[in-house]
This record gives sequence, structure tokens and C-alpha cells, in this order.
Amino acid sequence: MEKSLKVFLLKVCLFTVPIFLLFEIFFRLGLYPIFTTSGNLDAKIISLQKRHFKHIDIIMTGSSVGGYDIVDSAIAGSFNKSYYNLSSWGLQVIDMEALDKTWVERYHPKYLIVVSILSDFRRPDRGIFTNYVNTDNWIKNNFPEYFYFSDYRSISQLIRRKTGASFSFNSLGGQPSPFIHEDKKKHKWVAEDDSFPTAYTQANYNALNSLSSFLKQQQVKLIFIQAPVANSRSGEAFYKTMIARHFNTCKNIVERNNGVYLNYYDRASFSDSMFYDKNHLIRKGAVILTKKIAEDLKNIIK
Amino acid sequence: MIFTSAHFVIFFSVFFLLYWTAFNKSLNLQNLFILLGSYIFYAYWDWRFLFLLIGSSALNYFLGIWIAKSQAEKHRRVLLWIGLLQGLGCLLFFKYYNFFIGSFIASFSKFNVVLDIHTLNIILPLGISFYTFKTISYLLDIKKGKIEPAFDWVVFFSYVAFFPGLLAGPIDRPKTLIPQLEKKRVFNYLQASDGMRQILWGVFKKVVIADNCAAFTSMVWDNYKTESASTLLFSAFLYTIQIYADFSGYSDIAIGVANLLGIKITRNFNFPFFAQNIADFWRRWNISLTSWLTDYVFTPLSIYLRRLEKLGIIIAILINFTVIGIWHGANWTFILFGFLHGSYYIPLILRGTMNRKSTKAVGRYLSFSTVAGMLGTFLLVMFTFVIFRSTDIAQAFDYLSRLFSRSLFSGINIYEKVNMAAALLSITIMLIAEWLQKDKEHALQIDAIKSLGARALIYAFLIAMVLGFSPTVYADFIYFKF
Repeated sequence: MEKSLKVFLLKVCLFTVPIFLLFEIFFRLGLYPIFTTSGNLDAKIISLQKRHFKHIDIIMTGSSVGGYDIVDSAIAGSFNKSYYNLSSWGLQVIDMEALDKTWVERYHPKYLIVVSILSDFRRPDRGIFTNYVNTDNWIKNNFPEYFYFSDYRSISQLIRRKTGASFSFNSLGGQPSPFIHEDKKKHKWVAEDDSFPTAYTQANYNALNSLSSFLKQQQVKLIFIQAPVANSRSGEAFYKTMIARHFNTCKNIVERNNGVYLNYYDRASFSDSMFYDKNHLIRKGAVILTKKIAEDLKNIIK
Repeated sequence: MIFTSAHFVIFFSVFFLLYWTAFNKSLNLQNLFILLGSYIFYAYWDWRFLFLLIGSSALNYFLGIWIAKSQAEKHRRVLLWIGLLQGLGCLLFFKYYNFFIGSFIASFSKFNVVLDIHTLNIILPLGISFYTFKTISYLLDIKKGKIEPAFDWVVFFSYVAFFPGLLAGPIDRPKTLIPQLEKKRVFNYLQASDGMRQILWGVFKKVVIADNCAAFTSMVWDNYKTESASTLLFSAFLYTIQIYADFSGYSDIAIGVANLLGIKITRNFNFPFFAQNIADFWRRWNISLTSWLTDYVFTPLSIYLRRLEKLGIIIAILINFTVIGIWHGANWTFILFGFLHGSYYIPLILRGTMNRKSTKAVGRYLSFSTVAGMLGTFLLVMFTFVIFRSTDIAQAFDYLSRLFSRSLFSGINIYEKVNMAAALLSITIMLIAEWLQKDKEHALQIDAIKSLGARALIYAFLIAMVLGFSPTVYADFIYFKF
């Protein structure tokens, strides 16, 4: 190698090596890289990373409804198996498909539980985790600093993420439910955009189908849990028909792929007073639901 | 592989090391490696269009040789037309087919005639506008006897696909690039260092200025009906800065990358915001495209129309700038953008000052008339960039009409305050640095600063800005879609 080239490379290193060192220091200080555009999901990824799991028997996924600690303790306490809750706010089935495939390949579970609400089938793929899912597992597990540079996010964004909403998870991956009190904002229910189905519902069904058949191939049992729907949402005749059609579609997809479909849509047990908003149960409702789920799972999980 | 992505940094680091070590033994090896690297770079976007690039290169390679060897003028003209038809045909099909069909159907529908012609779901091959212009100028120059054809196919294929300028220019002429590809490159420390500095300057402009401006302007354009006139005006100002920082940033990176490989490619910007009039602006903006069209469209047209004197020049300019507009894409907004720029030339043509180069902005200090000239040109350009940015003509006029309301004197609605502050600071730095360095090729040619520490501090500051203040949403290079 020519001397001038060596000098040039040395000078380039003098500028680039400190950059890498800086980000390594950030990592050690807890200013973690941004894996996805969801702060909640990122916090969960970091929390999972710190536990160094080699294998998890039961993985729970879903959006916010599945993410709270009430569900975890009842389910995990019923079985002598390793369990982790990987649910995250705002995920669509189309998101879960890609993420769940990654988790399954990484942790080889025997069971994958998906807790689903109607809103999980409403939006398109927003690419919130594309960078994470498309990155090799070895890099994800051994060199997470890579995410500082792939899909680069500036230091000001890292700081904003760090100083923004903070998330804490229990040892099972769940987080404390903020929906513990009686509903305080029922008047806002009407204003909530909950139209269903949307232009993206079919894409979410396709994702569920793809996930189900993938799990079948991997010999992982899919347990699909349909969470209750507030009466005020399902009351109108139009929605009743739509919801019934939705339940059937999901049931067919799941059972066609040897999965288990559990539906907890029960207008009598889960009246509007049990709901915080159109999707989330208050603690009283969540406890009732979790007990029912735990009972049913005893017959499924061996 | 975007220049500012980790993938490109990894790709180019490996490429650079191999290029100057393992593939440095002979000219042929160097060129083969450039060709391989260029194809990998292109295929990373969409490997299917690689065949179009290779096919176009192969056809033009043979046509070039045949045109040069052919004695009969008629034969040479036919060969040239084959090349032109292939290049322009592909360009028209991929870029303008749907536009022409859509416009055709729309114009008939005005007379209540419904035409049942389907548009196609066509994906635009990246860089097609840029490499097609390269091959066309190659054939035209051979036909005119200005250059000899490249007999070494690796050289010619590398000329067409040379990756630093493949996706968004600069559009290198054959006489600039081919002779360099025909000589073995030797590592030149000064050239490589200058390349690194130009890359840093380009990344700074793209990431800190253009992307932060893009985050704001996208938000404003998406909600322009509810924004105040002052916010719309500020957004129009930022968009003008954004498109410059984005495109010139890309060009800086491309030129810097080429310099690292020992190749000098065409300069594309010469500090256009210091232009004193519109003719001066276009001598400084997207230089490689403007000079290409001047040579192959404007000059032949103005010669053809010379008996009409000034009117002939006006017609030639209007056609030339309409072509510049439509080159950007299949939309009436681009056509109007080009036509307006052509119209701005009319007073200069009538006064006979079109080709007069300004001497006002030579010194470092600004006179009132210099500032007035620059501001006036900037405002004219800003007005057309509102049209350029809009999705259609109706939106453009709606946006412009909303500028004239009482809310012009109300506060500006800023979304991301920290990033906006960083962007505004960086814009100020960019303009000052470019003014001070306006006699140089780029603003970071700071060899005059003898203190190594001072230079290192400047580099460190720019790196810190890049690391610290990129926006939440990454914006693609604007000119990729052209």
C-alpha cells in the first residue's frame, strides 16, 4: 500500500473512530439506539435483550390489550413454563406477522398467543420496524449498536426518545395498566374513529393467514384470543354483522392452520361499564377476562 | 443504497480499499472493478432495470463505433437515429407514457368524448434520465466528429454506469469522463482529501439542512389550506433552500466519491443563490443539465431560428426551458416551472444582456445593487419552486393565492423547534461559507487556513451537526425521482 494512502486512511480513522467510541459510550450509558419508530416496542426490545433468553416456551403478542401485567400474572402463573409478553402498543396484525416471525426464529417457542382487538385490523403496514426485522439476528443479539447507524437517527432524537415517555416492564414483559379506574372520558367514545372494516383490513387478514401457516410449519401452536368488544361499539346492526363476519374470518384462518381460536366477546359479562374506552378494559374487566383465559388455556397448554 | 446510508458507507469503504489495493494493478482491472461496483450499486435498488442499463450501454457502444467507421452520411444519420430512438423511446415510455395518455384522455373529456385508453403501472428506472443523456451526447459528439468512440467496452460501459453520478447526475460528457477512464488512476492524496471534504460538506447540506427543511415543508404542503400565509411564505423560502441543499449536497457527495477514486466529474452547482439575474442563476444551477441542453437543444434551435433575430432566441429559450421543465417529470407543474424560467429571460434578451457575466459579486463585500440582484433572483426562483413542489397546477395557484392574506403578518407555525433552529443556523453557516468561498469549487476547500487544529475544529463541528440534528423522518434525495 502506498504511503500517501496509508496517511489518508489514518486521518480518516482519526475522525471516524471517535464517532464509534462516542456511540459505544452512549450505549453503555443507556442512551440506546432507535430500533423501530415505536418507543414502546423499543423499550420492550431492550428489556428482552437484557434478559438473555435462549428459549421461551410461551410468547404473548398483540397490541396494547395484551401488553398489561394483569394478563401476564394469571397466564404465566398457571403453567410451569417460561413465558414473556412481547405485546406492544398500536401494533397491527400486519406488524405482528413480521415481528412474531422474528421472535419465533429467535426463541423457538411452543406456543404463541395473540391477543387481538378489532383495531388491530384497521391500518396498513407503516414500516415501524422494517429496519429491525430485516437485520440479521446475530447483529440484533450481539451488536445492537449497529442500529445507531442503520437508518440513522440523530443524537437529538436519541435524547428526545430517552427523555420522552418511559416504560417499565415486569419480569414477564408486561407493563402496569393505565386503565385501572372507571372510565372518565366516555363522552369521547363517539368521537373515536373506529370504522371497521377499512381498506387495510384484508391486508391484515392476509398477514394473519401468513403468520398462522408459518407457525404451523414451525410446529408452534397459535392461540388466537379475541378480546371483548364494547357494547356501544358492537350495538348497531351494521357493526354486529361486520363483527360477526370478522370473528368468522379469523376463526377460519386460525383453525385452518391447526391453531386454537378463543373468543371472549360476551355482551353480558363485559358491559360498557367494564371498558375504559372502546377497546381497553378497566382492571375489574381485565381480571374477569384473564381468569377466563387462564382457565381455557389450562386445557390447551400442556 | 443512498449516499447517506450505512449500507453505502460500508459498500464504499470496502470498494475504496479494494480499488486502491487489489484492483490497482492495471487499468483494465480498475475499470472492471468500477463497472462491477456500479452494477452492484444499481442492482441494489432494483436489479431488473440493470438489464435495461446494460442493454442500452451495449447498443450505444456498437452504434458509436459504427457511426465513427461509417463513411456515408446517410448511414451515419440512420445509426444516430437508432440510438436517439432507443434512448428517448425508453425515456418517453418509462417517464411520460402515463402523462401523455392521461392528458390526452383529459383533453378529449372536455368535449364529452370518453376515450377508453388504459394507463400502465410503470415503474421509473432510477437514473434513466441521467444515463440516457450521457449516451445521447456520446452519439451526437461522435457524429459531429468531436470525439472518437470508446473501443474498449469496459471503458464505455463504465462511463454510462459510473456509480457516483448514475442516479442523480452530474451528467458527465464523454469528453470529460471517457479520457479519464482510459488512463490508469494513481492515488492522489490531495484529490482524495478534497473529496472527503466535499463529501462532508454535501452530507451536512443534505442531512442537516435539506432533511430538516423537508420535514417542515412536507408538513406545511400537506396542510397548506389551514396554515397562515406567513407559514406558507416561510415554507416556500425553506423549500427553495431545501432543493438546493438536497441536490447540490448530492452532487457534492458524488463529486467527492469520484475524487476518492481518482476521477474528476463535472461540477454541477456554482453557488446559485449569489446569481444576479436568471441567466446567471442557470449558469450556476444544475450546470451539467443546463449546459447539455444548451449544446444539444438551445444552440441548434437558435441557429435554426437566427433569421428571426431576438424573437428566434426567445422561442429557442422558451423551448429549451420547457424541455428542462419536462425533463424533471411528467407533470404540468414542471412544464410551467420551465416555461416561467424561460419567460424570465425575455427582458434580458430584449436588453441584450443575457450572456453578460456579472462582475458585481466579485469582491467579498456586498453592495446594495448586488444584494438587490441576488434577492430579486431568489424571489423569482422561489416563486417557481412553489409550482415545482406542488402536486398539480391547481394546488400551486391555490398555495400562491393564499400567500396574499392578512395572516402574512401573523406568527409562523414551527413544528420541530430544535431541528428548525439547527437548520436555520446551518443555512446561515452555509450561505456565509459559500459567499466566502465563492471562488472555490466547494465551500470546504479551506486549504488557506493553515492551522491544522482550526481545520479539524471546522470538520468536527460539521460532523457534530450531522450526528446531532438529522430530522425524525428521512427524506429521499429529490432528484432521484427525476
